[in-house]
Amino acid sequence: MENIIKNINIPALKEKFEYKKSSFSSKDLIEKIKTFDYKNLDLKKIESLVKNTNRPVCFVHSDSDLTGVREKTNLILSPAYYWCKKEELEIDSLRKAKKLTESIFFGHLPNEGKFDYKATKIDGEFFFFAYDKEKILKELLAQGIKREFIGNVYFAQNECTGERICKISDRFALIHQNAMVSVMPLQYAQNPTDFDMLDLTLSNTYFKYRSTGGGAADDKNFFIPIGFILLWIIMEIVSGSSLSSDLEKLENEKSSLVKKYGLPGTSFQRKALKDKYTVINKKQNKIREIFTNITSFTTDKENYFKDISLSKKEIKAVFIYNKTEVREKLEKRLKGGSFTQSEKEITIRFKL
Amino acid sequence: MKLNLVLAGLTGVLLLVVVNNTMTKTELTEKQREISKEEVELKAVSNLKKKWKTNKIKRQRLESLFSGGKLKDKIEYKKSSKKEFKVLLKGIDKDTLKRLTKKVLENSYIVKTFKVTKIDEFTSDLEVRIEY
Repeated sequence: MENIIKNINIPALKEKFEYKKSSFSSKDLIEKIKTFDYKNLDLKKIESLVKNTNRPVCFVHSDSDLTGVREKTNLILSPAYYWCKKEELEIDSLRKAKKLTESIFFGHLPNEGKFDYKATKIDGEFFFFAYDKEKILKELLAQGIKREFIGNVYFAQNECTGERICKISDRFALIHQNAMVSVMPLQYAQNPTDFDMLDLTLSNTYFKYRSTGGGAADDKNFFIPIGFILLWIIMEIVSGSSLSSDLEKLENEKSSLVKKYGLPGTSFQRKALKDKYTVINKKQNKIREIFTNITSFTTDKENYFKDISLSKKEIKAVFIYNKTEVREKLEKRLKGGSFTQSEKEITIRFKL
Repeated sequence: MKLNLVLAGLTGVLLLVVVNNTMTKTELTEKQREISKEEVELKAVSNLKKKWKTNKIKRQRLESLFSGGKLKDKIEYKKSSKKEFKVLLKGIDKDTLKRLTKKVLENSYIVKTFKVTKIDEFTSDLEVRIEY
């Protein structure tokens, strides 16, 4: 870098690139430097320029034409775009002063619009800024700059220092007086100098617009999420198709199950079948239980079952007894039956 | 701006695919649960059917109970047709009766009537009518 800029002649450089009118970038500058034979090195200024901005810088006033801006550019706003107040406060901390910003502008701003605020401290004095970001954006877009080319936006108040009058366009001049920067018609300006971008050392007080895409750098930022989402979509689609085939398999499995168990196809038929066999099951279990109770009852010569019969509707047992306690025992055992008693004989009936 | 739209569009597509997959997953889980439940049900019905369905083998097995060598002399009459099987055994002993009763009862769902009449302490008559 030092080798390149050793032979730079700043005034000649200004003339060659006409950067005052629009914008320039440090890259362009270095490229052009190589092609000219300049004298009178101003290393400090060049260093300051290269250090402070990797982007072109452009001053913006109401009559600026920004249609030529083709890359991300830092903008310096003319005082026409913001409100500024200088205050001497009894506090030292900028952080504390920032809290007061809104109240300082209270009653001084238009009712319409949404304002943002900034504060800075220069030589012990506080400068407060109020600006309508959306309104400024509209103005900038109206002047022909694309949104994606808007870089950091600075306030002329902070960037244009030194007691002097600078020409900012064919009609207006910037005047720095009593620590405040303002705009005046060029015709009333006495001995205006050109606005020297190389004199600038950009401050840290600026605001930005969130990018909405379109620029090359922003495009790159989009490729990662787009790629990621695409990949995700592909994975989801693959997983979805696998799920669908699983679902299909399940459907087949369902119909094969019916075949496997040799049952009727419709659920109505299966239900009827189930009901039919459930009734049989219940009835047969009851028959077995009753017969088990009858046949396991201890009998002897004088106390025995004369008849045991099973028909469709009932089980009937005729018991001959000699001892009353045996009869009582039988009654206890065969609960649920209806007992008909005659002398030494008891008939038990179980309805099925 | 265009990429913004692409990103928004893709996000929308992704959202749709994810929602669709989630729904399919839910459906799949639901279906699996349904099938498991249905399999249990089908198995139960199938078992019931196997247990209680009359078939030729069961009938033959039951009829063969009454045609054994020992019982031949006890058979008062025996009649077997397509619809019915009837047998009357006279004077069978206690153990045979117990065995026969157990076997008949195991198939009582096809047995129409089953009748035991005690002759004395040791012997009984047994009448069985099976309807097919």
